[in-house]
Amino acid sequence: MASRGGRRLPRILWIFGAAWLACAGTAVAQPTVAELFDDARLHTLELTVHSRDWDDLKAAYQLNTYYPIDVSWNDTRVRNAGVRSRGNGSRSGDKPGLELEFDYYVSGQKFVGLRTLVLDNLVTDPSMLREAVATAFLRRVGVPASRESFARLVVNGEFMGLYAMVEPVDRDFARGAFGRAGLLFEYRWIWPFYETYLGEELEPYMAIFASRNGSSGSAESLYGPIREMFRAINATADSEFMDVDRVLDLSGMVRLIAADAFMAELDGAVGYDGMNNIYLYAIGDKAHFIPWDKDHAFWDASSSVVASTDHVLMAKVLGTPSLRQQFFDTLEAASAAAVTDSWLEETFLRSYNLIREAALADERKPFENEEFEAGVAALLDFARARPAVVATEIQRLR
Amino acid sequence: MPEVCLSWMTDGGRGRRLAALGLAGLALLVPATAGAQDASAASADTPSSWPDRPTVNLGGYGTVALRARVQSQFVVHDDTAEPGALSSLDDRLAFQRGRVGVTGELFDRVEFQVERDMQSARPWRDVFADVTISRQVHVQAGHFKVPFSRERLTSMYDSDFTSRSAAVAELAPARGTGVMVHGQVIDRAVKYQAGVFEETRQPRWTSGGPRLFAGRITVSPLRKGRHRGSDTLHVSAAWLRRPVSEGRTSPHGSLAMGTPFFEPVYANGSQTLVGGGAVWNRPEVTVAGEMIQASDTRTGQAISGGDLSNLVSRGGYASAAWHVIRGKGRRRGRAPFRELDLTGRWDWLRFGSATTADPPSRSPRADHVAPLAKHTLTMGVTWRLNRWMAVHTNAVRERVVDSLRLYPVAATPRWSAVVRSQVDM
Repeated sequence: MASRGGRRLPRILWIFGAAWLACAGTAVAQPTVAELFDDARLHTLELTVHSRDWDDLKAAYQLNTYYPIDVSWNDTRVRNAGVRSRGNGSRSGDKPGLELEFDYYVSGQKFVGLRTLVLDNLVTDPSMLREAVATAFLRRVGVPASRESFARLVVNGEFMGLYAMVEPVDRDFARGAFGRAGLLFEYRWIWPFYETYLGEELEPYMAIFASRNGSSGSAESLYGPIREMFRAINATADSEFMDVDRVLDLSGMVRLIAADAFMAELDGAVGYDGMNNIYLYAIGDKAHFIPWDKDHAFWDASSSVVASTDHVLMAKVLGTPSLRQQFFDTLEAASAAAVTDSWLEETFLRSYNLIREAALADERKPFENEEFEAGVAALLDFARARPAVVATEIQRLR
Repeated sequence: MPEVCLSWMTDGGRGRRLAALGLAGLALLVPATAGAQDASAASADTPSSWPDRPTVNLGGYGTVALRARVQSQFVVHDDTAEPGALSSLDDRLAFQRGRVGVTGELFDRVEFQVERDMQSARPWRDVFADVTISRQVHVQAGHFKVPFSRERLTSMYDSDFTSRSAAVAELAPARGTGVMVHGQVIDRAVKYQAGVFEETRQPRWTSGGPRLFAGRITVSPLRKGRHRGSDTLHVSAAWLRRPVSEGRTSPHGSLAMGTPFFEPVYANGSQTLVGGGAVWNRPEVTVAGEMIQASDTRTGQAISGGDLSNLVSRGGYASAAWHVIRGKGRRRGRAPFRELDLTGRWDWLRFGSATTADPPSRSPRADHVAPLAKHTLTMGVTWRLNRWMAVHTNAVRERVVDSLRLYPVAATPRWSAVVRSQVDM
């Protein structure tokens, strides 16, 4: 008996070991955010929403009303999340832009580690590629930016069109990008704002920088540092402008506007009609810029790399020798990042091939298929022409 | 029915404020000895008596009496807990009710009542006739309160509290247009009420809308003179079923100042209400309690389009009034303390679902609705200066109970205080 027991013991251990490995294998198979934003795949995201709610959301797409929804991606399912219509100019009743808030009805609920997920309806860009490739390019040149991937969106079993799944800029994202907890503010375009000092009163700053910090903090504690930042930006002479780095991450700011300049981004931090599409993340007294919504990137390959000097920041960058140097150096680095291995052109082509079938099948997009093809062709032209234009202009301006 | 209009009540916020101030002052200044006869507090279980009102005798065919009632109240609460809920003096000091009407009887067989609220957008209140067929059988038709909850059936002019308990306010039906059979049987020990109604905010004489069925039975086992030491004991049970239209139509919960703490969820199908209660009257004290459960079906309301488990809303109250100075008998008070009661009430209202299989959620389409409750303690003083005038003072402590900590609600109690003065003639 003893010998039989002795032979049985290893077998039992073997069975337990196999079971443990199976469990471990299951644990390893848990999906990750990186997999969700794997831009080499065309994902399928399935939403289940009560038909009446879906009709209401589409009918009242200008409102931010939340509705309960179940979300499925691969084998991952989240129940009773919240969904609302989102966007500014991109709001649509036919093909609504959506924001999924996984803890809206269930405290602490997350979806592959995310509290929210943005579903960009891609209705402002006929190529449907600008936003995703622009954020990938920003990350490539060292600017913290959302990860994105394309997805076929299926609502109640019906194909709703091609969407981009966009990593939201929230406090989790910002803490991950900058390594420290801070306060997050979303810039809201209300009037053309060129980084001027708006005075002592906090209300103007509160109007254009929406707090994304819950209800915590007094107005002074939240907006006092923002007021001080714009006071410093405007009151500091060019010769001493590097001192502003104590309230604004100048290096990060220059990197962002240089990357935007290479991409001929029309509507960014130093956009054509004032500041737009940025978040401010304040760690202590120092603020950092985080870009958002790049669907106007890669606009015109021949456009100047120098945005309007009506922008105080642009004028200060060009007027401060070390920042001017950094600006042109970063532009050259961005250009190199675009042409190395034909990254920009290849990324456009790879993404195009990935989404083409779904984009053509997307009957809710507000463009004809010919416009989609022409839009992609224009982006490929941009990728081929832009580096030379940038190089020529840098040479002229240095 | 002639239109009666009190011009000072339609003079915007300033006029209302002045009028409310005037009413409050009048209630304090009129000599308490103005009435020689005691007011009798009406309730659902004791017939009303309206003596000494302007009454027209119809020459033996019947009588018609005029009635006018006004209430104003002053509210104080912690503004920081509910910013914006109340801010101006106009809001704090306001007329709550101002009603005029007629009541009477005809041919010793028909009683009737017509009452109109002078400032509500839905002005008509009770508009009904009650025909006596026998002591055991009466038929009442028109627009009146649905027989379900004792506290709901008691007029706010006769209540010791400035507001109804949460369970009654949120769950018990108010008025409807319909027909009710009622009467007293078994030597008046059992009172029954049963009717069919359309739940309308205003009288509606055309049928066709969804109908509710309600029934209430009250047993009075200890009636005055039959059992030593007890004046009256009434024990009641009620049942109601009403249709629920599709949408966010379920019961919901609000704090005293109107701020919602539980939003309605999607419902569809029907609601079944069951309730029960008791009231025990003694010369020194009145003790009452009531419990209500509402069960709302949610057919086809799941996110997938399937059915959800019923939403279950439960609540109740226990109240007591100590009659420090009574208006009747040898303990009758002297002016200005004609009657003085110390009152207290604890009430609760809880929302949840019939099933708890899924993880709890705040979603309006959740199968397992995360439970949420409100507990309220009300303490007060009721001072009746004479048979027409009364002043009620209530201090209210409300606390929202989120046992699973899933709702964005503050756990700290909220306090409010209400001073209400009324004239009921």
